[in-house]
Amino acid sequence: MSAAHPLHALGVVEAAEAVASGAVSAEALALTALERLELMGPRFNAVVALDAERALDAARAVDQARARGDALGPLAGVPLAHKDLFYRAGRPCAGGSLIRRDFVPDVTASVLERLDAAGALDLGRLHLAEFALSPTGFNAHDGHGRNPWNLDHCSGGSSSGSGGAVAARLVSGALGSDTGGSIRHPAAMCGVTGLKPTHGLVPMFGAMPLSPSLDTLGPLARSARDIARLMSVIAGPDARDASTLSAPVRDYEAVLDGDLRGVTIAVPLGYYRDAATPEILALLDESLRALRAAGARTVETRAPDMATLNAMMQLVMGVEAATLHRRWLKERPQDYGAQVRARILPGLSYPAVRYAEALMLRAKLTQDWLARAMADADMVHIPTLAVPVPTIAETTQGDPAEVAAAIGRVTHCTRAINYLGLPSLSLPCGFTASGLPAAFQLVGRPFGEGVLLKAGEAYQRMTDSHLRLPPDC
Amino acid sequence: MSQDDAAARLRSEHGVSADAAEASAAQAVARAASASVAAAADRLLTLDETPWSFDTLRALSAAARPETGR
Repeated sequence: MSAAHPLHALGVVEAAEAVASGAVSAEALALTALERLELMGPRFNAVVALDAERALDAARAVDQARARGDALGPLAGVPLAHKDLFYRAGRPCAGGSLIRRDFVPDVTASVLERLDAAGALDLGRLHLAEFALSPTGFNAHDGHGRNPWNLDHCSGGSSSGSGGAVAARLVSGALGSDTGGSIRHPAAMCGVTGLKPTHGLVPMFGAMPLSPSLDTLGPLARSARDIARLMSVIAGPDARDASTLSAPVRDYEAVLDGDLRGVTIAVPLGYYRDAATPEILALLDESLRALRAAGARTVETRAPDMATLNAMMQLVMGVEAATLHRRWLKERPQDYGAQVRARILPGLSYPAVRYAEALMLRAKLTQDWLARAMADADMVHIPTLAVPVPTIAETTQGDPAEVAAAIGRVTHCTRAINYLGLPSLSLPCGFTASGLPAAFQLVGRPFGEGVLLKAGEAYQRMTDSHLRLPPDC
Repeated sequence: MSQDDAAARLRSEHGVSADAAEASAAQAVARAASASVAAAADRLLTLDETPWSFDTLRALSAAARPETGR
C-alpha cells in the first residue's frame, strides 16, 4: 500500500480486493485495525472489548488460504467490529447493560456466521446505548458515545460505537441494529453510510432483541458500495428466523452502475422538511441536485399524518420492550439507567387491544404511506436528522422538557420507518456550520434495497462527504 | 388516576416498583399514544381487512422486480 492509501483508509471493498490481490495481508490489516481500536477507540468511547487473538487467527487463516490458491470469500481479510448485541458462542455480550454484563451466549448470531464464512475478521465488541435504547448514544453505565468530529457532540445511537469506529477509520465496517433509527442516527451524526434493511430481510437470530416487530440488523460503512458488499453476505432467508423466509437473495453490487436515468425520487413536503433547519434544507437540496445530475427525476409529494405513525411505533416498541424487560424491571430496577426505565415503563400501561390494533393496521398504514409519500416514485428523499447534531449536554442536562425535546428531534424522521418496515439508506451530505455531518435518507419499498444502494452509490460518485475524515483520524 | 394510583397499579399488575412521579409520567405517555392509536383504529380498522397482514405485504414485495422492489 502507498502512503496515500494507508491500511486503515481502506473501505470494505478496497480491503477485500487488496487482500485478494496479495497487495496486503489480512494479518497486516487486522494488526493495524486492532492498534487503532486500542489507541483511538477510547477517545470516542467506541470499544467495549477487543477479540484480538481470535481475529488474528482468522486473518492468518485467510492469508494461508490465499497462499494455497484457495478461493477467498467476498469479505476475506476485511477488518470489522460490531455493536455489542451480536452473540458469539462463548464470548460475553452485555448489550450495553449492567444486567447482562456477565452474559455469555451459547449460540452465534446468523449474521456473524455469514460474515465468518465470507472471510471477514471480527475484531471485537463496540459501544451501544443500554439495551439499544437511546437515539443519542447515551449509556448511564458505560458513558456516552462521543462523536469523532467533535467529542462534545453525540455520536448517535444506539449503534454508537459502530458509527464512531467506522467514521474514525478504526474498522472498515460494522454491524448495528435499528428499531427506531439506531443505525441511521450514528451513521448521520458521524458522517458514514448506514442501511436499515426491510424488516425480515436480515435474520435476527442471535442478536439481542428490543422489539421484534420493529428490530432490524444492518451495516454501517464508508460507502454505499461497501454496504452493498456487506448486504450481499448477511441478507437472505434463515430457518432460525421465520420472518426472513420470504426474503430475496440478491447481489446488491450488481446494480451499482452510476446511472439513475429512469429512477424517480419523491420529495415529500410537510412533516419532514418542515422540521429541517435552513442549513439542513440547503444541504438536502444540494443532494437532490446531485441525484438529478446522475439522471434521477424528482417529484414533490406530501407526507401523510405522521403523528399517528409515530404513536403506532411508540406503542409497539413500548409493549414489546416492556414484555422482554418486565422481569428485570421487577427484580433489578436499580440496574437500569433512568432514561432507559422511562422509555420502557409506559409499555406496561398500554391496553392489549391497542397493541393488537397497532399491529393489525400496519399493512394498511404502510400502503397509505407509500401511496402518499412515494406515489409512483422508486424511493423517498427525506432528512435523516432535520437539525444539526446536538451536543451531549443538550441531550442530558438541564430542563427535562428541553432534554426530551432535543432527543425527540433526533428521532423525528426515523422512528416511523421501523413501524412501516421499510428499507432506508442514510447518506452523508456535507457539513453544518458547526463542522458536524448532515445526512439524508432514501426510503424504499419493501425489499427495495437494490435501488436505494444504486442511487446512493451514484450520489457518492459525484460527492465526497463520505470520504472526509474527522480531525486527527 | 393519581400519581400514587399509577404506581400502585404498576406494582399490582406487573410487580414493578416505581416512584409516584415516574409511574405517573409513564402513564401519561401511554395514555397519549393509546389515544392516537385508538382514533386511527376507529377510522381504519375493519373486520374484513385484518387478514391483510404486514407479512403478506412483505411476501408480495419479495417477488417484485429486483431493481425497484415494486
